[in-house]
Formats: sequence, structure tokens, C-alpha cells
Amino acid sequence: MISTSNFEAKRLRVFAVGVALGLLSFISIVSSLIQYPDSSSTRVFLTFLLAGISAASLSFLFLRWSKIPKVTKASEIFSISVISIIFFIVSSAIVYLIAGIVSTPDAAIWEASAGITTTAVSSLEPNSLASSVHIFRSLTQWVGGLCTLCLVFVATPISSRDDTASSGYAEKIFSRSIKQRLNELTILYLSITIVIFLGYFLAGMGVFDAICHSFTTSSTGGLSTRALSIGSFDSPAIEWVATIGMLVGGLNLGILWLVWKRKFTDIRKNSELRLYLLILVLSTCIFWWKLDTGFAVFTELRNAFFVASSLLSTTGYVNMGWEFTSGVSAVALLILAIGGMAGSTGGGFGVHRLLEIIKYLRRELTLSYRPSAVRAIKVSGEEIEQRELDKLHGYTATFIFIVAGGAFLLSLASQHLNLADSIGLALSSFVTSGPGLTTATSVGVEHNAVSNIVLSSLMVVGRLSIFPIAYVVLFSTRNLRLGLVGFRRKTVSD
Amino acid sequence: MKLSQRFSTEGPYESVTLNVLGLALLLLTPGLIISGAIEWLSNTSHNESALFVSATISCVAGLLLRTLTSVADDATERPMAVFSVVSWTWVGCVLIGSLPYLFSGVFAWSNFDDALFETISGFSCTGSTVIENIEANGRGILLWRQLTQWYGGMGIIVLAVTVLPSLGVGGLQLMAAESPGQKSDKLKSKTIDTAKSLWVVYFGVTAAITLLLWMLPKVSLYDAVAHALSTAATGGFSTYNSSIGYFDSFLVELVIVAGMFLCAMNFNLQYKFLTSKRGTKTFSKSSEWKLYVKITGFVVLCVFLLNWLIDSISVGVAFRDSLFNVVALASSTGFGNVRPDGIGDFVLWGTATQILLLFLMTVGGTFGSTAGGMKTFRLQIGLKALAKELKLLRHSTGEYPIKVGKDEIEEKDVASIVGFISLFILLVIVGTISLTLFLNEDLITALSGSISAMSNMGPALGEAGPTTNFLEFERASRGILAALMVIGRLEIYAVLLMFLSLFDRLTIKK
Repeated sequence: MISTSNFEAKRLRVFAVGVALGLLSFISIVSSLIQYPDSSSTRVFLTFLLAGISAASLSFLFLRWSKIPKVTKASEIFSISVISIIFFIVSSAIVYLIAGIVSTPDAAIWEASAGITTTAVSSLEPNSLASSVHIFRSLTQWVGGLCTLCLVFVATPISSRDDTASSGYAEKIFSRSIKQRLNELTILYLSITIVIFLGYFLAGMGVFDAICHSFTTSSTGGLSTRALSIGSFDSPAIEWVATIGMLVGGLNLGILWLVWKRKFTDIRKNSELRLYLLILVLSTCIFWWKLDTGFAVFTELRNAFFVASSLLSTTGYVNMGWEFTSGVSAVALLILAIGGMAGSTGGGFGVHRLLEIIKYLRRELTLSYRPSAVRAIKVSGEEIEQRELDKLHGYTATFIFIVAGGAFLLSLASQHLNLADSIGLALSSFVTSGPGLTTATSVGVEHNAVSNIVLSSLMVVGRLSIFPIAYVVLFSTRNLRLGLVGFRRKTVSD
Repeated sequence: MKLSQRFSTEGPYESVTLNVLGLALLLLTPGLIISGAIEWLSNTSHNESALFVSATISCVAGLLLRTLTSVADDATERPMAVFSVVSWTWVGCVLIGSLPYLFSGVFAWSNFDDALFETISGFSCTGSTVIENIEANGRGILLWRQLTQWYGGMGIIVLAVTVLPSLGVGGLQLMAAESPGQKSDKLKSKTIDTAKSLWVVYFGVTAAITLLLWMLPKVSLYDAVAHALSTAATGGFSTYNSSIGYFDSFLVELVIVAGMFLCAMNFNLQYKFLTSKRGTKTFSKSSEWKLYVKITGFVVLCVFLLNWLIDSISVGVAFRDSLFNVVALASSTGFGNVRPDGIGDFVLWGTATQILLLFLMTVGGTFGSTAGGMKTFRLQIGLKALAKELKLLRHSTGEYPIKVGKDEIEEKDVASIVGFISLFILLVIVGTISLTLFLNEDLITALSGSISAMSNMGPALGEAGPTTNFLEFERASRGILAALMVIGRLEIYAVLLMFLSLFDRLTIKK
């Protein structure tokens, strides 16, 4: 009995590693092919090609041995996702190091985590990078986005106990069959990317830039091929495409599917969407009012919309040097913390959780002056169970705790950060957005080794929505403790 | 014996709200008279008329209200009526309490909102001040300022054992079980007795701190009384601009630290400690107290190490400042010990240290004391709920009851505590946003200011640290902060009910 479950666990782990390697091989091979005609950076090309081929063969072996394991429990999904993401980060960090793109291991880990967790942070100077590296980075973000979607829409509903609110309507919106749902998701994601690509292309971006940016827009990743991000194109049309693209990236994919299927009544019923759009409109108005850039009114509106969209969807594109004066910095941090909708590639606390918290507090307040009142909490017409609410509070507490802890560690690691900077940076990495609110923490700033590790862990924990990591950490420590207890018992009985 | 029989006067009109307000105003009167006498006797300034006039107004209003009203038998049956009492008593006391400042010219009449701020800060035991130069004022006025905090402390003790537990939200109902009285659904006569015995403890603690301080060199009797009053209330007002730093004495700081630490502890526990035979056990049994001690000790140690090793402050100074400031913040007192040479200003400490301080400011003291904040027992239950969630990840069908000591806590109570924590954080966010967005305050100043006000702390980080005052904030911001102080002091839900009750019932029956 024990041996079979051990075997199953081993199979799960091998499967997770195989998946990570498979993704890496896909990304590496594609990016090495892009480099092919260029002879200037042979080392990069060779590294990518060799890494791709070896990863592909290893992944083939692993997946063949493990087959696709039958996953039924949430805990198994947690292990698979944690092992895959960590293995992916480590192996792509090695690729970065061998290709000579990054010089130190901690910086490589940081760059790799920024890729797969769709965070827009990097210490690299984009203009000096080979084109294959650009493709590698943006494709990593794109794949990271796809994996997030799979986790939410495919993996989570399989497990017996649903964990996110979105999983409730994943079954209703997409097909019931897992394979078909996976196909639908991929097609939808791919078509969004293509539409964004066409948008960028028509707005006047070059083909290569348009490809890279469409990858990082649809995944709410935010890495750019230019040093000044979207701002370096200096084109209103491109900014509009980016804004709309980010907005779509922060949407629940299920809603886009409903649009595709023309079920508009279902969309109208969705209260999460209404809240998302409300926050977007409100924050746009606040930025419009407060971000004084000295341009014409309409330009300022566009700018405000861009900022709001970039922050709320946790993409992290920048269109100009944002001057977050003290007046808006609190609002910016709050919007950053809220993040995208459930079932989107955006990170953060999640609009659905915010909605549930608001409704929960309303109920608590009602109960305080009318103790006998009975009030169910409904989101988009579906009742939320008490169990879900308990989990929600656990999530909220851990969220605040992790951001505060991250800020604490960051400020310990680098003395020059002030309080606002360290909180902004920790939050921004945790919600997988990227740049902090001030220039001391924006894209292109290098950190020391400890900060890099702290930031990478924040990104990974944030991307996996806390609980998988918490589970795996607890599980491994628990096993450790159990082992010790078992050992002690044995000695006693002897 | 019913409440009505013990307190009622035979007035022609029936109104419990006005009757209790009258009682409260009568209680304020001796304080005003004593302050007036001190002002009269001292040779610095002579604004005693301001205090005596206020005393007269307070006394006359109190007597009028008492003689004109009576309390009906069923007056406190409805929770809403109880809140009407609390809210109108607050409003009345703040209005009367601000009169001495206005009459004596500490604040011009055009700045009446500052006078209100100072009074609210006093009665809520916060200790944030908007007086530019404290030492320029007369001794009597300053004594009144200290007394507002002491009265506030008395008030919060009564609230803690009588009104708040009956509210049944935010986990306060659990506290009813721990108090020497028993579970109370309404304002019961017995809980009033409890409150009285706790007042005795409160009075004793104040006297003890006064004596200890007075024995030390450099401290006059007046200084000792003034600082003992605000220490016992965990308020934080001082009669000097540089607060405790004025004395520049480690011994004074030690006495104040002991006082602050003691007064952030549940007064029920102290009462039990003093009355029961095996007193020491009362402390070891209280898990909330143990957690409070652990947190304070841990943060003192961390802050000391950070200051010593990273900010390279010398060992002695680092230990002295860490101990004093951490206890001052953990107990939500907010005294400062910045010496004349500028040493001891925690705003200048490292970022990591300041994050720890922010955490302390949010948590605050224990329930049933005069300290403010989210309260340690809520943190305790929040952490246990979190641990339960993590355990459920492993065994999703497991049963993991949440226990405090030996008692299991009901799901419903846990939910209301967790709801309270969310609401607390939400209000801090709302406060920060409104301060930064509409009034252009600095982010950290606004955030720490909101936390400081919600937790009834006193000083904040950023620009409003221990060396400056809340005049750093815009005039309108001070209004928002004063509102947060009241909300924090009355455990959030009570304020909501207060607002409802302001409109709900100020019924006067013939």
C-alpha cells in the first residue's frame, strides 16, 4: 500500500519535471531558430539549441516513463505546479548563465523567475540583447500565462475540492471534457495574442517587436524589447493597443469565451466584471485628475488609462517616467494589490476576492445590529460557501503578511531603500507586476544577491496564489518532523 | 437590583441617554476644578477662570440633565439605546472637554477643530497633539490635558466590561466570559460593580506610578502626577515638548516602561492578581497575556539587534531606546524619549525596524486594558484560524477546532473576529487613501498616521514622528484622523452603531 503511493508520488514528481523540461525545450528551440540567420551571437544560439534539444529528449524520456498521472486531489496539483515552476526556473537560470546573458546565479534566478511568473522586472539592458534572448524572455512569459490559465481552468476543477471561485464557472463556460477545455483555452489565448499582434503591427510597430510585445501583453508579463518599454515607441496608437491588450489580459478568460459564444446575458450577470471595470474607470479618473504630466487633456486621459490598466492587470508596462507623487502613490499601491480577475493571467489579490470580502463585511455589519439576520453571500448569482470564506480570510492574512515580510527582508538586504520603496517593491513583485512606484525600484535597477532571492521567491509565491507553496512547504516540514517522531518512538520501543 | 434603581433620578422626563450624560459631566467637574486650582496656585500663567467657567458649565449642565431626566426600567433593553448612551456621552464630554482650551486661548475660537482634536486625542487615550509649544501653557491647562486621557481610560474600562461585550461582534463576546462578572446581555448592575473594582485597580496603578516617579531626582510632584495619569491611560500626552526625553534619565524611563507595560494588560487580570490567593497563576493562565509578552519581548530584541548591529548605535543607547520605544508603541502609549541631542528618534531608525514598529502599532495591547489597536487576542485567533486553513490543505475533511486556553471558540465568533481584522485593515487603507489623495500627505506619514490614529497610539512615522506633532498634517486631515481615533477606540462596530443610534434614538418621553 505504502509502496504504491510512494510510486505514485514519484511518478507525479517525474511528470512535473518532464512538463517543465518540455516547456523549456519548446521555448529554447523556438528562440534559437529566430537567431539562426544572425552570426554575431553564436554562443547564445548554440546554448539555446543544445538546451532545447537536451531538454526535449530528457522531457520525452521522463514523460514516457511517468505517463500522464491521474490527478484527483488538490494537494497533487499543488505539488506538480510547485515542482514544475521551481525546476523550470532553475533550468532556465542555468541556460541564462551558460549563454552568458547574466553573470551571477542569483541574478539568473531572478531573471528566470521574472519570466515564468510574468513579472516585468529585469536588470538587463534590452538594446544590447540578441533577438533570440528577447524571444526567449517574452515566450517564457507567454508560456507562464498559459500555465496559469491551465492551473485555474483545467487543473483546479479536476481536484475534488475546488479552490478558486472561478473554477465554479469554468465548468459551465468551457466544455466539460478536459482535453477539449484545454484546446479551447489554448485557442482562445492564441487568438488573443494574434489579435494583439495585429493591433501592434497596424499601429506601426515592427514585426519582431510586435511579436514580443503581443506575447508579453496577453500574458500580462510586461517585459519589453526597448529600454523605455512602450514609452520608447512614442506612439499614441501603440499605447492604445497596449492599454486595451492589458485590459483584456486582466479579464477572466471565461468572459471572453462568452463573448465569443455571444452569451451576453451571462456576462451582464457577472458582478466581478462590473467591479473590475468600475475599479478601472475610477482609477483612470483618479490618475487623470492627479497625474499632472503637462500634456493636453486627451493625452493625459490616455496616459491615465494606460497607467490604470497596467497596474490593475499587473502587467507592468511603462509609457513614460511615472511620477507617483505622494497623492496617488497610495491609490497606485492599492490598485496594484487588487490585481486582475480570477481566471486571468494577472496576479494580485484578485477582484473576486475583493468582491467576496466586501460582501462578507456587509453581512458582518448587518449582523452587528440585527443579530438574527440571515444573509447568504452571492457572487454573480452563485452562493459562496462558508468554507470558501474561511479560505479567503486565510488568503488575505497571508497576503498582507507576505508583503510585509518581503518588505522587511528587502529593507534588511539593501539599506538604501526607504519604507515606501521597500513596500512598493515587495508588493509589485508579489503581484507579478514588476516595477515599483519610484525610480529607485523601476525596471533596469540591479539588486544585491539577497534581494534577488527574496524578490524571486515573492514572485513565485505570488504567481501560485500562496496556497500551493504553503502546502508544499508545510508538507515537507511535516514529513521531516514525522520522521523524527517515528525515529524516537522506535528507539523507545527498542 | 436594576440599573434604573441605582442610578435613576426622579426627573419628569424619561431619557437614559441624557441621564448618563449628566452623570459623566458631573464626573468631569472635579477634574476641571482641580486643574483650575493648580492653575490658580502656580505662578506661571493665570487662566484659571477658563477652567472654573468650564467646570461651572459642566456642573450646571450635568445637574440639569440629572434632575430633569429619569431612567425607565426597560431603558437598556435595546442594544441601540445603549449605543445612543455611549455616543451622546462621547459627544457631550468632548464638547465640554474642549472648552478650557478655547476659553484660555490655547486655541483661537477660529481653530475650534484643533481644540476638538486635542480633546478627542485625550479622551481616546491617543496622545497625538496639535499644540505647537506645549511648555508655553499653564500648568492647570496641561493637567486638564493629562486628565482627559485619564478620564478616557476610566471610560474605556467601563465600556470594556459593560457595553462592548454585549455588542457581540468582533469577538468581544468572548471577553465577557473572562471578566469577573458573568456573561452579560445588557447593562447589568453587577457589571457596574465590576467596573468599580477595576477603577480601584486603575486608581491604584496611577498612584503607584506617581509615587515611583516622585521618588526619582529631577521629577517634581506635578510632573509625577501628570505623567502617571497619561501612563495609566496609555495615552501619551506629556507636559513637555520633548516628552519623557525632557528628564533624560534612564530610571524615569524604566518606571514609565513598567507602567506602560502594566497598563496595556487586561485590568481584569490585574484585579484577579491582587484579590485571589494564588495570584501569579492568573497571568500564566492567560494565553493572550503570554502572547503579548512574547511579541513585545521579541520585537524589543529584534529592534535592539537591528539598531545595534545594522544601524551601529552603541549597545547601551540601542538597548535603552529599543526598550522604551517598543514598549511605548506596543502599549499604544506613544511617549517619546528623544533627548536634547536628538538621540532616540525612531523615525530615523532603519527601514526594517520601522516595519516592525508598524506591525506593533497595528496590534496594540490586550483587551480590557486602556491600550488600543487591533488587540492581541484578535491576532491570536487570526493566527490560529490561519494555521487551521493550512492544516485543511493537507486533510480537507479534518476537524480542527480553534481553542484559546481550554475553551473552544465557535465558528461564528472566529468569523466575526476575522471580519473585524479585515475591517480594521480596510479602514486604515481608506484613511491612507483619503489622506494622500485629497490632502496630498506623504504616503508613509499618511499610512502610519492612520494606523497610529486607529490604534490610539500617538506619534506616527515619516514626518509626524515623536519630535514633531500632528500639525504636520493639513487641517482637514486632522479631522479624518480624529474620526479614526474614535472609530479605533470604540472597536469600529460600536461607532457604526453610534452613527445609527444618533439618528435612531434620542427619545425623550414625558
